[in-house]
Amino acid sequence: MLAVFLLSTITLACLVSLLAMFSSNQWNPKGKHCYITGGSSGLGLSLALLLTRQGAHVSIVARDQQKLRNALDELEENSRQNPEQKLNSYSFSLNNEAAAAEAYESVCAAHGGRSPDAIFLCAGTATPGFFVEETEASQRKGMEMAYWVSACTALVAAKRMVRERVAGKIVFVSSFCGYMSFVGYSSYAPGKHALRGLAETLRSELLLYNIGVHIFFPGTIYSPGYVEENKTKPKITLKIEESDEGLQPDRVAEALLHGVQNGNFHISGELTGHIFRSSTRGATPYNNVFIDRIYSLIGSIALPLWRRGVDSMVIGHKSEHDAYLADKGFFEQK
Amino acid sequence: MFFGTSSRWNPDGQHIYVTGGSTGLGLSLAILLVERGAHVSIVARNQNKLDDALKELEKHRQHPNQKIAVRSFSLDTAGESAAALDAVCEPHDGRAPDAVFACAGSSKPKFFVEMSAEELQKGMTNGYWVQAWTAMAAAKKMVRDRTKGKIILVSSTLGYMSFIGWASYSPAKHALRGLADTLQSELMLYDIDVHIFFPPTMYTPGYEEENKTKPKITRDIESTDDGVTAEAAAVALFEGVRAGHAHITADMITTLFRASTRGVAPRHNIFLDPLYDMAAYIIAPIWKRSVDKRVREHRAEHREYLLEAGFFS
Repeated sequence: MLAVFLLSTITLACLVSLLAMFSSNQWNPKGKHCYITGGSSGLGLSLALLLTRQGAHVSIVARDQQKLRNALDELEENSRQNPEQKLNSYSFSLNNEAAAAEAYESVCAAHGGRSPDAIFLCAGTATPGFFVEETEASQRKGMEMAYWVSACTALVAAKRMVRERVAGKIVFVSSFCGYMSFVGYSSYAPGKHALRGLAETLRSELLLYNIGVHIFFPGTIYSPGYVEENKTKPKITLKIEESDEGLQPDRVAEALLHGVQNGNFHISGELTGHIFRSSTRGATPYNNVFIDRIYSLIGSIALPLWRRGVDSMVIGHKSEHDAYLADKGFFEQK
Repeated sequence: MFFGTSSRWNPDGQHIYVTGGSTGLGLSLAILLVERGAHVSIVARNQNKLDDALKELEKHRQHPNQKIAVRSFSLDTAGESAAALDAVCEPHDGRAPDAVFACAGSSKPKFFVEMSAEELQKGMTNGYWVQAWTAMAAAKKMVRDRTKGKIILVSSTLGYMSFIGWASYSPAKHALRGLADTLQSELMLYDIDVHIFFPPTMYTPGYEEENKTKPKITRDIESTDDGVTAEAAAVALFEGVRAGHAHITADMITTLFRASTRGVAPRHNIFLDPLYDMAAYIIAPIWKRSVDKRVREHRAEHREYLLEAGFFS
């Protein structure tokens, strides 16, 4: 009975996927202006290289001038397809509306003041730590680097695209930490979840203006950002993540672009991502109505098991953690 | 993950701190807790509303040694929230409360392209930070006192999904889920329980406030939703905490969302949850399609609206 059900579901799923492959108006980056925040390293840079290779005009924004110069060199040497392609880099911070607007203005300037066709919000960092060691500053910084750096640009872009009647795309980059969370991510998961809330709202709302919205949920990416975040990551968090296989930024960028081209609203890159996405779907549209169901079924068995494992690791860590806090003088403070 | 199934949580004689406790859900919850013999401290901003709330709470007093207190504090920053917590703990020898219900919050729905960055930020303050700061202060205090307490956050159905009009609110309510799910795992290090409530529309003063700015299309989409009274919501929240549920809901629609967005959050019931999930699998896309259709049909009217508001000049 179950076998018949599974077999027919899988067959249907394959048929539907085949149909999807042949039907599309796949979004084509060629000749389009793509604006990538966080475009000088990690996922953003890999995406920039990929889009350049596909013939897009690419503008990258980040903070560090040197990294931007190196990135632009790489785009020119390894990816440029034709002389008409406009490849530009700009140094801006993006953590408030004024900064985001300035950056946006510069990006548009090279294109006659016109809004980009697609905006990829890859900027962001994570600084994991224990909640009881957080401060107002670290919590606010966490929200800024996980959420505001994207939300501010999205606000600027939406208003400009609507005024210019550009039917563009806004692509958010969240994380597995936007689908679920565990010990260590109290300054990061809220912001990544918040991105989902914003994306869900805007997917609905920006239908008013024919502006497309996507949101990507990658897992661990072996990027400079990952190296940075591991510096502060609690041992217990590292232990829980031990079994995760991360991906190289190039692979991740491909998954992101693939998802945008397929018209997927929530984009996930590999099996674990698909399972999380399908298990937290709620009212989010399907990517594939049959395959998603299978992921969800797998998730309904696998996720509670994984969860139980995580919980027992945390509980097993109690006394070591108590000693750690005592060492730091936590119990003496008021 | 089931906590406290052996002995159900009983607020009698416990010190419970309720933020946003002078109106709406917070007040209804405070009344319920006083009726069950708890010592209750409530914090809100407006002193008049607090005074009225105190009079109301006194009517439900069970015995003379119950400590019922109201204090006026803003909760917008970590410092203010910590000060509020310290103030309510003072009459209790400075000890951490046994449970903290973070009911504070408000919303201001609006079209995204008409929002200023300040409004977007205010949405995060009034939807997320007013609770997160209290959670942070409470967690630290409970850990230092080695109190095996409870921290309860209040999100919304809009913490499970969203649609047009809620760009300053839904992110904050989703963020609360992110925090609650992190803390539900992390605070196991200290035997502190974490719960999060996802109420639907509640017929409260807050609801009247939000309807002042709510776009008509948002209201139309919500018109089919049944809201609940603050009293009913408080009962659902209380029962959910007693049942040891990590995620708590008060109505069937939100329950369907809970079951279908569960991910790694603990299950309630190994048989019912998959049924809810299957129901959501069928119902949610139908609902979503109808909402999208309404939004698309609203395009022309919305364009007119923006023109008149001077958006394009």
